[in-house]
Order: sequence, then C-alpha cells, then structure tokens
Amino acid sequence: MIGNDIVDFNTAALQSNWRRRGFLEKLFLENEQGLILNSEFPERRLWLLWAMKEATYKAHQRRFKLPRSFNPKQFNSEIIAGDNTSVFGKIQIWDCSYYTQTFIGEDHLHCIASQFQQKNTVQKILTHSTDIKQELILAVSELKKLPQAKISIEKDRNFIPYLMCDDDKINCDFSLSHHGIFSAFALSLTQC
Amino acid sequence: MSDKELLEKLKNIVTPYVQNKEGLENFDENTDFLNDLKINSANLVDVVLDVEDEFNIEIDNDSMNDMLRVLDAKKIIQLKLAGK
Repeated sequence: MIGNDIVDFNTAALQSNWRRRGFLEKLFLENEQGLILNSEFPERRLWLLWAMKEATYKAHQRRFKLPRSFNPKQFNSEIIAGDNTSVFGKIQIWDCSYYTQTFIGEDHLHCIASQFQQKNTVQKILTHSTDIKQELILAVSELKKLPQAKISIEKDRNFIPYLMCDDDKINCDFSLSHHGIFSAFALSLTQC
Repeated sequence: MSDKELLEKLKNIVTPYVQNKEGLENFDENTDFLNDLKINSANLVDVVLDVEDEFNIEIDNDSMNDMLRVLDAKKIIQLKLAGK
C-alpha cells in the first residue's frame, strides 16, 4: 500500500506555530524532536517528518482498513539518506516498516510512503486547482483502459477513498493529498 | 459546566483552524473536525493544546488519538474534568 502527503511551506508557516509549548512533544517522539531541533533548518525538518508520518498513516490505514486516528507518535520516523532536495526515510509502526521518499522544493515538499523499498508509482502535483481528483481519474482511466466518465471516487466508512467504475470497485492503490495551494496524488503502478 | 457551555467553548477553540466556515453553522456533537470543518490534520494538535489551556486539563496520547469529532472531545474533556 502507498500513501502520500504534501506540505505547502507558506501555508504551514501561517497555520502552525510549531514553537508553541507542547506542539513538538505531542506530535514527535524524543528522537524526532532531536532531529528537528538539531537541524540547520528546523521548520523544514519538522514538516519533512510530519509528511513522512502522514503519508505512512494513509498507507497503514488503507492496508489494515483502520478507523481514523490522530496518533502521530505511534509512527517512529528515521532519516536514512538524502540532501536538501530528496530524502529517503523509514517509518516503523507496530511491527510494520514503511519506506518514504520525499522531494523538497522551494515552497513545498511531497512525500510518498510505501510498504516496499522499490515502489513503482506515478505522482502528480497541481497548484491552484481543485481538479486533482479528475487528474487521478484520468491517470487510472489510461492505465486500466476504462472510460473516464464511468470512474468515480468514493469513500468507505473509515473515510478511505476508493475508485469505482460504474458499479464495480476498481482494485487500485492510490492516495490523495491537499495543502495550501497544492494538491497531489500518488498512484501505484504495480497494484492498479 | 453545562453541555451548552462546553460546546460553546469548543466552538471558540476550533474556529481559528476551520477551513470550511460553513461547517460552523451547524456546529453540534456530530460535527467532524476533519470532514465537516476541514481542519488541517497538523492543526488538530493546536485544538488539543488549546483545549488543555482552556479547561486546565492534560490530554494524554491515547485520548488525543480519538479527538476527531466534537462528541469525542466533549467526552474526553468531561472525563478529565471529573478526574481533577
């Protein structure tokens, strides 16, 4: 399973005061707080770790069909390798490991989490648009050779989105994300 | 504290983080922070911290996990206030 998360740095700076008392402690484990506070760019590092947790949460929730939960400290994140533009990470929850790849731009970052180290995904990022769902439908329609007009996105009782073609569920692993001016999807090519 | 007062306080707490202001018009126990109010998930922690400050209680991780609807928040606040 895969999950993705996008962070708009400008929106994040407006929406969150990460220096407020208790903010880091409620979201991050001690080792993660160290990674943030000892970083040259603590705010960027914070949103990197947050996106890794969010993307993994989506993959994990979908994998085990879990009800929603706000449990960021159950996800233990680790940075394996990377530089200022691309970071490879690993997240542990329960006895499951997930791998994350994050691309960091000037004004946003985008993270994709997967159960597998070698993930085969397509992703798309849009700005100033509400049409990410249509973009996803278009991509699935091309991949599965299904008519675009018959595909729709629904949500199950755990609010996990899934795809339908008329009355049939499309077996497809994907993830949607929105923040600020950005919206994104990730779509697995091996499980679609 | 009456249910009405508690809900009023909660509404004031979440308002700055609400992306879908229309969701506030029908604010009640069934209101969902994410689906109805479109609160960004990173701001859920601000809601939790503001609740702690307003009611002078501490919300542990397990309680925080479930704070996704007004009803959940109300139950947790009442439980913590009763235990004080």
